[in-house]
Amino acid sequence: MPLLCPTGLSPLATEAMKKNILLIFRNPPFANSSNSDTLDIALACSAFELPVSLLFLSDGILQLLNHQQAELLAQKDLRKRLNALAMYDIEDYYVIDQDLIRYQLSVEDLSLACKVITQQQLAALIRQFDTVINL
Amino acid sequence: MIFSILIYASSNSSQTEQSALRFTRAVLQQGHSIHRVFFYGESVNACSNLIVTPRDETNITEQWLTLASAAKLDMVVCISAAVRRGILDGAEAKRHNKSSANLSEGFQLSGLGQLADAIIMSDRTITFGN
Repeated sequence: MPLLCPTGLSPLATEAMKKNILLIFRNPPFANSSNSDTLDIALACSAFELPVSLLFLSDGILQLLNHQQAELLAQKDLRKRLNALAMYDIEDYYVIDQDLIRYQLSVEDLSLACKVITQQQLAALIRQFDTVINL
Repeated sequence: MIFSILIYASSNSSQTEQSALRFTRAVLQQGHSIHRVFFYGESVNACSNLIVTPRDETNITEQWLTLASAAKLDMVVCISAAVRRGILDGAEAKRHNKSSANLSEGFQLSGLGQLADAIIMSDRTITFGN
């Protein structure tokens, strides 16, 4: 006999709803549309109540810099949408310490409150997630 | 095991989409199932019925359609990625007042919610990105 869950969903369905997702941003802003497309996936998954975390890896960390002048490039910047993430309950963001050092940045320079992990912790972080999307 | 496939790379400038097609075939041959194939980003260009492939090259759209009809694949194309690249079905062509539609029969335009649904419903979601 399958156990009944308090939510009324079958155990399988509840298990599926719990599936957590890591989205990886690897590209600098304005290089191509992958950061924007990844952000759209984050919002869509959040609308389906999937827990979403974001990892800004390598050049992707530059996406978080303030004072970008997108209009000079006739592009749209992601800042407004990134700042709205908390409203979608997406509040789990990661960067790697080596990437901060490489660009001589500190977490205060970033537009989101990111957790800093080491390169060695990266594999363990990725392993925590059921689904990882890296466009 | 239930798989879903997310394709992001361009079929014209990389091998990635061909890899996705082969992976999908291999999954089915091994007795697993495919919940959905989701086309996103540049990959939506492969869903146009206006593609003319040189005679000595393979037409990936036809390969997807052949596989889809044999395996009853659900092939969904991200509507916003498609419309901005000029890939329109009849309804979108009408809505945006365009003279013709060019989405190959066998693909469906829909939103990213279909990707979220695929992630929920599948044991593995495999991305074929850049």
